[in-house]
Amino acid sequence: MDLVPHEANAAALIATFAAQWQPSDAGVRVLYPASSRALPTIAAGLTQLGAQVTQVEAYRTEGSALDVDDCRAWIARGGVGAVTFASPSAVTELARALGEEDFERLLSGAAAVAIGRTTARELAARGHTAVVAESATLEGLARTTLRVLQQKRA
Amino acid sequence: MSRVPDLKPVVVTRAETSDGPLTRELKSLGLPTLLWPAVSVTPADPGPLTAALAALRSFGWIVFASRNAVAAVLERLPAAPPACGSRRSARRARKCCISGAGPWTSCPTRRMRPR
Repeated sequence: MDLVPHEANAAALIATFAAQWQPSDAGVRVLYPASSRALPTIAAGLTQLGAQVTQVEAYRTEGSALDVDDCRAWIARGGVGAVTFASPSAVTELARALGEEDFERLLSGAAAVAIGRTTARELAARGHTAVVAESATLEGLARTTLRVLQQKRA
Repeated sequence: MSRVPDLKPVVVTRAETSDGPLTRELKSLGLPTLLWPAVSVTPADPGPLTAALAALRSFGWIVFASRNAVAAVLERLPAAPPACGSRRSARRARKCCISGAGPWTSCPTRRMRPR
């Protein structure tokens, strides 16, 4: 790996590029394979530095068919301890699948844990405060979820 | 690790199976899980990525921000996935550097690096 941001988010990636950017890098071509729902932050940031960015759709992120009745049964009996979100799309799609009312009910009883700040902002936009994972990895998300649940129980 | 007693289950909303990486991490910490995959990851039209990868040497950088992107690229690299250090992979990736938004991208992208 030639360049790894200190944080796993788009802003940190752009900042890391900017820190090592040389005038001779102007016009360098950058290939950015991304999700169909990738936010424009990375491509726009690199373009602003002077790169020629080719963003290509590498995969599609779509809503999934949940067993909503089963989800609602768990929500109704307050049976969920925490909800993990590893992307803003997961926030959007879970809210869409459950409906805003059940989404609200879910997160009024269960802790929301977000993998990073972008995902936490998507929750904040819907009025929910998330705990951000100690590191933007699935391992970090899991460890933070454990800590949150232990604190809730204490 | 054994299951942590008296904890309500943790919902996993990412696209994964009951043996997926986040579920495994949670279970390894003793947490019960519920799988509610709100999103799914499906293949994109392979044309644009395949065309870009065919011209990989013309790029100074390739930027990854998700493990799904890494997987898609490795799946569609021309010919067989390059073995690290092979002359073929070195020629293809000579001008290509890797950046990733997170340590989880480092392992698979190593396969694309020339030694």
